[in-house]
Amino acid sequence: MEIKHLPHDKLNDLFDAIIMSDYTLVGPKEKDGVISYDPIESVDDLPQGIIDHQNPGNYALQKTESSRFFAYTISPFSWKKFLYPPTHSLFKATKNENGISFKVNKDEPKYAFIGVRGCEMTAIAIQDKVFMGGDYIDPSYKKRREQALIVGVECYNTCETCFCDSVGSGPEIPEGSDIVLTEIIEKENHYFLVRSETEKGQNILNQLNLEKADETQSMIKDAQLERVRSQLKRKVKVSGLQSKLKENPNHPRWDEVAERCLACTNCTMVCPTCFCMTVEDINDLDGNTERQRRWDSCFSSEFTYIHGGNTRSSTKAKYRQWLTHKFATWQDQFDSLGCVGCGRCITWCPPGIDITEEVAALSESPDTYHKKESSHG
Amino acid sequence: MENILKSEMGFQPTQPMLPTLFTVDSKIQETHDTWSLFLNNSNGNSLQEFSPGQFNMLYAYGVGEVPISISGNCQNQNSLVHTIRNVGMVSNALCGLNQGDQVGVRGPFGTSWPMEKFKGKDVIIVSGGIGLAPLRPAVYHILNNRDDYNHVALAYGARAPEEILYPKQIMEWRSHLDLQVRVTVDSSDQKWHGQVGVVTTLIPRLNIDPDNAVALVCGPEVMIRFGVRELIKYGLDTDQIWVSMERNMKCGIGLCGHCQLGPDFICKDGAVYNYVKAERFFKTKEL
Amino acid sequence: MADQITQQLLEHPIFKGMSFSAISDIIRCASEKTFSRSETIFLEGENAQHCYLILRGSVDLSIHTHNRGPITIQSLHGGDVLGWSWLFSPFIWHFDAIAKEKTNTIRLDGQSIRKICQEDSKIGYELMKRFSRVMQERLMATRLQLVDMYGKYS
Repeated sequence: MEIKHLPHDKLNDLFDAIIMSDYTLVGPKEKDGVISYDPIESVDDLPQGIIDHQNPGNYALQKTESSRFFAYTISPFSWKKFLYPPTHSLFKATKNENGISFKVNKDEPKYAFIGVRGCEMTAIAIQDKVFMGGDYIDPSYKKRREQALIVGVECYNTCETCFCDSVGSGPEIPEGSDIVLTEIIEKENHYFLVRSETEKGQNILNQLNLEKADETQSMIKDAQLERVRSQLKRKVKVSGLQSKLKENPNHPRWDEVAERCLACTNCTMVCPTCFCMTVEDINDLDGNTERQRRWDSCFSSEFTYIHGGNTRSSTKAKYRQWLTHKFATWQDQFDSLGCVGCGRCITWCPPGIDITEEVAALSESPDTYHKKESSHG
Repeated sequence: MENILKSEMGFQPTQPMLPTLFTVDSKIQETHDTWSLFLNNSNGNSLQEFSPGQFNMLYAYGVGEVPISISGNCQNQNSLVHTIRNVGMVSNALCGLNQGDQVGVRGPFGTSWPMEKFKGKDVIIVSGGIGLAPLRPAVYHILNNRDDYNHVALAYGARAPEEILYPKQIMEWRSHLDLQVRVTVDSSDQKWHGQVGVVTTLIPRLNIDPDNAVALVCGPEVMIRFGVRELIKYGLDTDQIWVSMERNMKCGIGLCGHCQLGPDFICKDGAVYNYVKAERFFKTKEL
Repeated sequence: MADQITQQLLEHPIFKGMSFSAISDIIRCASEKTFSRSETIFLEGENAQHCYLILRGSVDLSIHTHNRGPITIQSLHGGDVLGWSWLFSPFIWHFDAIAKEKTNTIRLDGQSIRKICQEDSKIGYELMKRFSRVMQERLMATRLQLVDMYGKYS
């Protein structure tokens, strides 16, 4: 837990040490006009000096003069795409005169995630409960998760859409990461404060010859985190929310939000905790078949199809399911919120529906609630 | 790079999405759109134990997988029995299987009718349409342990006489003097000499002591709602009533999210519920 | 004989809980009527002169179709009331009623009952409440049949 000092030009040594331990390095990279999380080879791939502007329904990158490697706040993608890929083979099957036989691929990649934020670490912990905390465990997720190395990097900037503090997921990086970095630039001095949180992380750091950080540097780190916290503009009032949502399934706000919601599924695709999936069978002309798991969304049109029709077909009911799940029923199921305040669903909602604004409106009594103009509508 | 894992050991929790292979031993057509498959483990292994009301995920090669309740006798398991209504792509493929064909099975999943709890009680079984399939193991259980239960009544409704499920078996049950079997159809021509009317109309005429009774209800959701209302009118309290819910399911193990109803995953928290718990599902439309 | 009818009327669900004095006028327009198996009780289009309280047996209500013959829409049993077309103008039966087995009924004269209700609004209201309840239950069951809950789309 001792805090070490890593000069900025030694960051690549850390990456090399990780690569040498057989990890596939995955980190932030500017790609197609966004910060993407993709395989990287060195610090040269990092989006140095690039910041992201995020607003409801709006995302833009800006190049700055800063030499900061992790100046951006958060990527549209989440680490979910590596731990729980959008499509994944469950098994392959063939059929011949001897019958059907199955093949399962049990090999899983060994990833090191560079730049995991506080909200993202919380999201990973939430998905751990979903996929590894119950009676049935997802074997692919478990293997990927257990062999992953998580390198957290504390936030330096916030976006307009962030609200981690109010849902208790950040900006500090909670337990669960292996190594935590804080990037600091004071005048000419560009360095990282590094600490290991696990033995796995310590083994990596042991390969570098790092000096102990001095106390003033630790104070800068703390101040930086508090400044980030104070910059957060959005918030959700969580206390009492669970019962309010459950008790008011016919709140007039559900009808209003349904008028704006396109049921496009964007919010669920960018959400780092959403875990719904469906299965598909892919057949080839030789008669072989493969069963794949694919991300699905509670907004998709046939999500609740049973013989005769869909049990949840209106957009109102779909939105209600999604938001109520995040803030109320998730607590019943997994003993935590299903929202980490990353703001992705706000940024990537085409009509700019703001989940914090919806929660605030839904927290008002349905009897005294008056229809208002949405500030982003 | 691929590890070959032959599914030989029965359902494996370490690979919960991988089916076990079963072979169709025989098949019978129950109604114009419903078939029963009698399955045996392809590797000759003994069958997985199950409790009345539980379901399996059945996989049709290259087509898909659907939840189907187990409709056989859990104490006399010569084969795994599934009654399937042909209503979609996967069920169509399953109903089209023939003797010797293979099918993938995962399960059993879900909660069951708590038959132990019902000991010493009068039992009312209310079912409609294909809803008799998940209740048949409960009837078998009662017949296997007849002394454990007091008066037993089966109220069954179908759309038309030719759509009555397990007619031969119902006739056999009728021959039990200690089993009240009442069947009704929604409408019929004159070839049918039995009762006409919805299944709820059977309930008031049952000879059951409502104070000491339990009711097991399975059928279309509308039938469940009205059936429960009629049972309450008959004198049962909500905690004396159990129902079986149906929702879209892709995994059966609480991971795909499809079957969520409020805080519950119907696949693992249900499908069988005491009505005290299930009541809230009916209070909000499109929950 | 009259005593037996009184007893049967008092015990029938439709009058259950009413006092002898309240139904004494009704008793005067009641008679026993037994139908044998397959006997027609009334047919669609006939004048609806009577109300039948079924004591034992069963009756099928059916509607005749041009291509499928009679379609049974409901079975009635002991304790049920058969018919209310006698209550409303133009007093015409809308369905066919056939005894499915030997069926014992008490037959009430419709015109007399209507007269009793007209003259004594207290008993009239009580009877209307009881008949409405039966109609409400039948309507509910019919609505359920309309849903076609076991059908192709459910």
